[in-house]
Amino acid sequence: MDDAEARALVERTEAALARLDTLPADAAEVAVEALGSLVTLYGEALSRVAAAFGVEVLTADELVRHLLVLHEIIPDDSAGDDSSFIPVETIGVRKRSTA
Amino acid sequence: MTALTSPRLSGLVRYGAARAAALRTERCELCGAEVADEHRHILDVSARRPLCACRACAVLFDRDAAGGDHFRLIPERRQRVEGLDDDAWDEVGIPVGLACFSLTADGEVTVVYPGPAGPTEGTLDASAWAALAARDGTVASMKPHVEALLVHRMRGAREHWVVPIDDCYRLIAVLRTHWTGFTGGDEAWAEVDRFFGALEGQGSPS
Repeated sequence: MDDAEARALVERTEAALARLDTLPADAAEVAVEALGSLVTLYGEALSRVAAAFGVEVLTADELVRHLLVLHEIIPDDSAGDDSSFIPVETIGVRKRSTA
Repeated sequence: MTALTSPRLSGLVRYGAARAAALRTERCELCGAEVADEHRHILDVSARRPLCACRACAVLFDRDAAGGDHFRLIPERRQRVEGLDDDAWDEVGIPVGLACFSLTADGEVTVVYPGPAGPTEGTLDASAWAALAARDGTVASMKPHVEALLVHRMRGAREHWVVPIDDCYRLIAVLRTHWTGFTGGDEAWAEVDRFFGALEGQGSPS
């Protein structure tokens, strides 16, 4: 996969995650729970890789750098972070009572 | 070229991290309060399940009367038993390799043999137990339900300990995890040795 394909995959992932909003609340809850665990697992692995090999060798790659920032393994030095004002609740579990 | 952005994925990462942090926080299984990493356990006697306990609940259940027959605070002493030698076991007349003895409030003696397919259980008659207790004061002072006599006499080992009952559950888990083939394999027995080695110096953890 080259960088262009990786970018396309990031966009596709965003679109797929956006479609979670269209699910009934209990189905969305199951999906978010599973996906949340999964990204935490990969983030933990990434953080261990970074600890073992050093972040310097990893940050040259655009995708890897992006994920390192996302998982707060390295600070985000780009101004105007697009993600910082997206509250957790927008992707988190909606309350059943509002379903 | 603009930088990669993925607000949705970012939200998911933060949600996952928050969930993981919440799960790491252990709670008292009696009152729901947060508990410190180091905390006491209370035995649910009928379910034979140790429950994490906060300090307040541990103090409350430190008296046998407080929890009735249902809940008992698990003590923390881990004490090597000096009085049980090979003669003692010859006298009892049962071959003991790896076993865990505990008492009910009525003085009945349960023997649990940890094994690869889970523990198997039997009873020991009261006179045999009395003979063991007569040889060692620590054994004689064991509290019903919440303490156990843990014995390891396999492969030349001669380990005898009075331990908190949940140590037996931990040993059972160790065997289940590491056992291979019919005899366990060297790795499993090395883990068992490590388990007993770790009892030393854990006499009374905070």
